[in-house]
Amino acid sequence: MILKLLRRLLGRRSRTIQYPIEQPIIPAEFMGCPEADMNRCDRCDQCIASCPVSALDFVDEGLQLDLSLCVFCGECARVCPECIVMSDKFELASKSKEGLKVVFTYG
Amino acid sequence: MSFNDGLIRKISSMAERLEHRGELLHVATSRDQFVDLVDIIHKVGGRLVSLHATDERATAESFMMYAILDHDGCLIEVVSPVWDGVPFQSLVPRVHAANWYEREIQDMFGLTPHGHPDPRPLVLYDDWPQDTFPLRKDFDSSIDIPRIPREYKYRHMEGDGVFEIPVGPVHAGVIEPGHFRFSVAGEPIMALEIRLGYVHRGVEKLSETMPYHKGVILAERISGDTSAAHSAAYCQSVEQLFEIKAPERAEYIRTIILELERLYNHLGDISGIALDTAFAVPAADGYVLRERVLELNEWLTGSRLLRSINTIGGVNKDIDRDKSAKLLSHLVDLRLQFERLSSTMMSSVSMLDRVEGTGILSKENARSLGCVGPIARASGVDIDTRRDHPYAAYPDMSFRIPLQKSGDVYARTVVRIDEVRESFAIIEQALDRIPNGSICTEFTGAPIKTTALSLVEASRGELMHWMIGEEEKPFRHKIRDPSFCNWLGLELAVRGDIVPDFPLVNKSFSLSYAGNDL
Amino acid sequence: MDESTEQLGKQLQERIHQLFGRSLGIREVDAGSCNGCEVEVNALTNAIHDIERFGMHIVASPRHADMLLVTGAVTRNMEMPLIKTYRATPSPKMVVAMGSCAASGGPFLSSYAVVGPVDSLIPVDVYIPGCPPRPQAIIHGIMVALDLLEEANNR
Repeated sequence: MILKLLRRLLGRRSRTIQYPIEQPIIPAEFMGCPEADMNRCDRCDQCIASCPVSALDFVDEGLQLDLSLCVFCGECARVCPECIVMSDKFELASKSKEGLKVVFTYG
Repeated sequence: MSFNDGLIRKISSMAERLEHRGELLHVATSRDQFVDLVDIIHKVGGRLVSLHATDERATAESFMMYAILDHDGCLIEVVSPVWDGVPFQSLVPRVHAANWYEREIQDMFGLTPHGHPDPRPLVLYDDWPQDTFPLRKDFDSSIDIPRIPREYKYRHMEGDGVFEIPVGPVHAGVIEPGHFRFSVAGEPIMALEIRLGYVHRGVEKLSETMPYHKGVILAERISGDTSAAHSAAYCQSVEQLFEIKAPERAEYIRTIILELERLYNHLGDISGIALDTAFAVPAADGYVLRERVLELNEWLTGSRLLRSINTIGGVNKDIDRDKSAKLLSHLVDLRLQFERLSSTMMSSVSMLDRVEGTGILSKENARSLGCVGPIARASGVDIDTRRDHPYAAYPDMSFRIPLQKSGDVYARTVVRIDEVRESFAIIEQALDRIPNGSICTEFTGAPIKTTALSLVEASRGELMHWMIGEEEKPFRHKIRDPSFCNWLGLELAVRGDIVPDFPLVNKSFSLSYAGNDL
Repeated sequence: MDESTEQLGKQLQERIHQLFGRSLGIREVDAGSCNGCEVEVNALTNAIHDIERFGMHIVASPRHADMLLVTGAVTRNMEMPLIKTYRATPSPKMVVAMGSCAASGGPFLSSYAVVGPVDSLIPVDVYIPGCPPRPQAIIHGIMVALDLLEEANNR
């Protein structure tokens, strides 16, 4: 049995994804960092109202997303598919809480 | 299933009001009759599904206590008033399964059970003030709650050569926090005391502040690896309140999602058993299989833990023909690999030696504690919500419910292995028969009904969401995770085993701390 | 993969080996998480993600750890255990707050049973957003903590 097992194992390639040296394949459905195209935004507030954790808010420069609150549920992208998409970005770590605030600006 | 006539006659002689609410028989009774009534149903084989209270002082001038029992596939809800300051008669001496429920009611509502053998706090800690009860309606969550030192008394065993080993709350492995206290004489465990509540986050109170469509997000975060089952149960309850029905296609997709969740959890548990018996090759293989299911989840729904897929009125993402075909081919491959894994594991003498006869939970104990899921089925208790109270697309699926009798780690592993096979078969059937149509019904209007009860078979067993609805949000939302019923089973199962076997027995129970603590 | 990425990959690998020559011990602390983050931390050690290739280990005790990986909004009942775990970790130490609950309290922030995010109790070096973050995002977060990767400011 051991021999059989060894034979099977030796025939295998390594399955490890060599991240960060190689990038993983991100499926199309993946819900990463939300991204807003503010040129299409008419400030209807729908995305802000739909967010279950109040991660979105309007600021002077545009729409601010607080990644420390965001639970990546995709609700904002569902109520406003015209402006907001769930991108494939997942490398979001930051050393400060300020660095977790993303502002989508007009123009 | 129809109700037993004799039982109904007995119940109605003691009831103040009897009412059929869909699948549920609602029985209102007086406080004096409550314990007797529950005991009668329990004696003829009724299983306690939940026991919980509500604060209805604003409308009914009292607290209400609800006991939900499952008798032969019929659900009976017994309700009676309880008053502030008047201790209620404890059910525990007659129905052991009520133990933790009554302690929870005491913590959350300040109602005291009279005659409870172990009335210590369950989730609220030593330093919680003794006159503050979070689930009462007049509780203000915005104020700071002072810490008042109090000591929690552990059970002690004394005698020559008896030692205590305290473990936790921060454990050696990557698991959730909980405290275990072993009383040992040499290697064998004489008694184990489990103390939980470390991850009590106040989910039930939070849910009362969340509008229905946002509550789904919270339900997904009750117990991380049971996201799909909890959100499905939540959505089904709200659908009952609003009397909307998810389209058939959505029901099929929910079924597929729920089975995928069972798959990755069971694969993790089976590999965990291999790991804890130091059988590294199948463990590594098993974790790779589990990772592949997680990747499939992400590819299918966008979330590795199947979050944000269930929504009130249906599901958020469709499975088109292309995806369906790809999923099927992945399943064929996974199945092949899984068969190899299980045969490697189950033909190893050194592994069988560790698991056979270890951590036995007898059928009597499993029944009397009201254990559910694979743990109950491994001890020979034949319950499965998918068959007993079918939901989603389960009425159309044909599947077997694996049973074992020995109640040891071996039996629990075999039950899980068999359930993985059934899950593969269910997903294939669902993909094969999935009807066309929309995936979501619009969720608008006001609630029509006031109460809802939804049962879902999660990977750990039967899970319950019970709700009294208000216009925008739940008035009371009771969540009962399967682990809540199974933890006490673990205390009994490890008795007489040696300490090094505990991790193995614990793994075979695979219990959720977050779901238990809420 | 084109040549420049390959070059970059090689450089990165060298830097990783320089830094992890002695290995990094990580202790995971669940301070009130829903178990979702634990699923992903467990996934880090499987053959697909395999963080041992960098010399990172999940260690059994805070006494062996160089880094605490804290998950969950800190509950009232886990406040003391978390502080004790932090004190038990030898200096120099790093704290990584993993997941939205650890960073901000997430959906549990307003609860009576939750004290607050991790940084309200102990200093946090790096935040990893996500609910839960996927395994590669955790690896990225750990690299950021070690100044191995430039912060992804290209969002």
